[in-house]
Amino acid sequence: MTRPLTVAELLRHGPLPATTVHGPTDLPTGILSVRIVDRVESLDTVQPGTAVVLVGHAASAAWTVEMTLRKAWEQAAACVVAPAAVRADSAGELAGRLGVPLLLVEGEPLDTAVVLASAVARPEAGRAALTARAAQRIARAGHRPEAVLAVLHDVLPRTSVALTGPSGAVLAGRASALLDSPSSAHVRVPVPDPDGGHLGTLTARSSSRAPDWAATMSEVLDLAVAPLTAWAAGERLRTERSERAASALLTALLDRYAREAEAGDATDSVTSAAIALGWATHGPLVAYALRPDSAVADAGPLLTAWWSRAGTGGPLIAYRGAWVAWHTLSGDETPAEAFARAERRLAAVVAEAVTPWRLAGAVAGPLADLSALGPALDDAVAAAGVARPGTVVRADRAGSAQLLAALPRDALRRPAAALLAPLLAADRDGALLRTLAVLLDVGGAPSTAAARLGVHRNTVTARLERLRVLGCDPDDPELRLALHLACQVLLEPDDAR
Amino acid sequence: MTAVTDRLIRPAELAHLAVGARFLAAGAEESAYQVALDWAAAELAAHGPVRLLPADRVAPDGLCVAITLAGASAALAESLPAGDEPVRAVRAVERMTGRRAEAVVLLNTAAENALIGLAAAARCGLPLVDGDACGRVLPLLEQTLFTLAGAAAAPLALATPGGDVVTVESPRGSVEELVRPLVLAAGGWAVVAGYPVDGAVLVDALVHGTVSRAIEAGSKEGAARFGAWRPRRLCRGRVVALEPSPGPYGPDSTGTPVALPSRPTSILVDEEDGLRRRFRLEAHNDVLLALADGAVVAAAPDHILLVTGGDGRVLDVERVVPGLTVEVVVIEAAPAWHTPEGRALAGAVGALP
Repeated sequence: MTRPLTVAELLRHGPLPATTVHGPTDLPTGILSVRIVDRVESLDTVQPGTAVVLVGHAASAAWTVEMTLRKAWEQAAACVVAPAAVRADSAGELAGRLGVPLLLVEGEPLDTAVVLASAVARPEAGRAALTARAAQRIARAGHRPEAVLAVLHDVLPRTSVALTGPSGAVLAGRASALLDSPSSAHVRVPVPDPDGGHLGTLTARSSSRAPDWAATMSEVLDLAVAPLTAWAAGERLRTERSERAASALLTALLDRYAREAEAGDATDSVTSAAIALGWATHGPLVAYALRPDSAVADAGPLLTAWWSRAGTGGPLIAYRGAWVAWHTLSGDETPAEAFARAERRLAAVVAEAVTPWRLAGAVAGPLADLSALGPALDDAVAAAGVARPGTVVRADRAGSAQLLAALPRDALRRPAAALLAPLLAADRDGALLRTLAVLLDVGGAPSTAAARLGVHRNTVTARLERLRVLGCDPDDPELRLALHLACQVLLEPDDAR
Repeated sequence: MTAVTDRLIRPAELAHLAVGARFLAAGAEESAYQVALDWAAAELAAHGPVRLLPADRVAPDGLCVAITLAGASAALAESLPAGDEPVRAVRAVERMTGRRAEAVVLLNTAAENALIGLAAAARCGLPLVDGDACGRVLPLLEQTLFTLAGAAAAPLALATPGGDVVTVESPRGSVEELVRPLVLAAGGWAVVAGYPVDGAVLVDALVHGTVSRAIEAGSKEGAARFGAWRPRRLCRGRVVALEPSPGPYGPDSTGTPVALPSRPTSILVDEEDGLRRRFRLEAHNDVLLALADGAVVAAAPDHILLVTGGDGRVLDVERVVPGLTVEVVVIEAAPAWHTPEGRALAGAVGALP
């Protein structure tokens, strides 16, 4: 007889989509049968090793789920499966204390029971089958990172995977893979570029804590490395064949980041293509512009060859009548010091340039990230246009970077924190700040706020009392506008979930 | 003569009864309670002390009438009593049964109900039986041990502050659905006299000694008051959260006895010492079910109470907020409530409808 499917295997390779697991996930307990339970009393007759699927009354409330967990523990049941709609924070804790896995599954519970029963009946589906399936699927997916990552998500259940560039920005996949949580398994696989350098990293995170699951994940991620490197090689080849492609890509990239303030989504093909070419995408950055002193046709090959030999780094790309380059300011210095050094280096390079023309240069920076690159390049191009040949000027004195730095959010964050200082000091988990924000959003009505926060009304009124004690009374007309503004500033970046 | 040794309820005992009867009725409306207290005090002053009779001293064939307040107790403070409501109600029951009442018995010994029952006994010049028909408070008229013993609530009579008397005769067990709209039409409250039973029935069906217990509890100070009910402590802990709940009967169950005004709530309490269990109290007006780490540790019809950690006051479940330190205690209900019929009548969780 084949060995029965264990709870750990069910969670790892399992057929249950969108499952949240509370309690132990790596139990070697075999699942011998599946039982549908609609009344808590029926659990008295459950056999050891049963997977209990709750429906109807038994799945109706947190207390029935907790009673079920207790009975499941007493009867040595293998696990309890409940609909995801159940409010289960407390039940989840109880599952952990009792050591009974609680699986919260989206979808119809009876469907879940059927799927579960068929998985229990055919326990042989295992790790080897998973890897083989992954290899086939990846081979068919081609080289595009999005397609490769989609396949990884399909074959690795309950696992998030992300491909990140050197800066840590997500190129493809799910940003949630990068969340650092102690309850999940992490696997990182480096992806080399065609020249043997570092192209990026594949990171996978799974809520499964089975000991050999990390090994399975890294085996499957390894299968994806070759297609990703091939993708980078293809991109570089294509761009080197054409200067115009590089210019077009730069324009698209700048356009993309000029709009990023609203978009907020870092995963896109333009950024991916830039990283495949080895372009710097993370700050602090310095931008350069160079302009020959006479218009010469077909200057490109000569200039790029000179730049890659003698330049200060980064690609040299034709842009708005000049040539521009940028790179990340690295090293131990502050960005300002590194920028000053980059300026001196460019000055030296431009002064000693051995080309058929004399060059005028400009530098702009340091830039926090790519969103500042477009305006900085424009400034630099304009400044290079007025620089004397053989010299380098700074273009960023009154540039937009300073304006960006003065954006209200940054300017307001400190006064906001000062205003809310007593609250922030007392607010361990952020609940008070969120409650204050929601109360202000809804005009102070505790019932509405409770509904929006998903807590009991009395919880809101109790927090409101605390808020008043802390001097943050949302009903005080003198304070209301300032408090609301402060909440918006403090909550905006981190709490946009 | 037996009357010589009978215990009397005088103003001093009334003061103690008023404190003791209110103790477990945490949700009692303050103004209504004051009205009832003033009422009972006025009747005692006008008609003299009331004899408190043990059930076995009521004549076995003597008629006893149960008295209770029906309707919203808040209405009592808004529409003040005329004072003769109990007499009118008792007389109406006497007319229907063709017998003279010999004693008054309480439906439950809680707050206004105990005080109005005492006022009724004083005004009618009848003794008050030491005991009640419930042992605790349940919301419906027919949720009594008298019903379990086979006695019907009807014929019953409602006397309203406006001077109306409404009599109800019904062969059915359930009179609550008739009485509710009548009480609303009458202005929110009425004194109900019902359950005409013989003294012999009381001996078996009554929860004995609840009146003297309330008087005794009221004569003590602080936490010692509680001792009279022999509470069993389930845990001491902190309220960590309140969650909305579909209620202990499930979202689409018909088990809930009536549409109670409040919303079902789960109260989560973390035990402070010992096993550090997580208690979940399912409350709907009362706490109906107590789970400790998922195991049932107490359930209605036993009376589950939240008591403040500091001064030992019983908390109204509607006023519980996160952060309170509480003791969860349970007071056992009369044994008859634990029979299958009793559990069904009390609407206990898990009882067959």
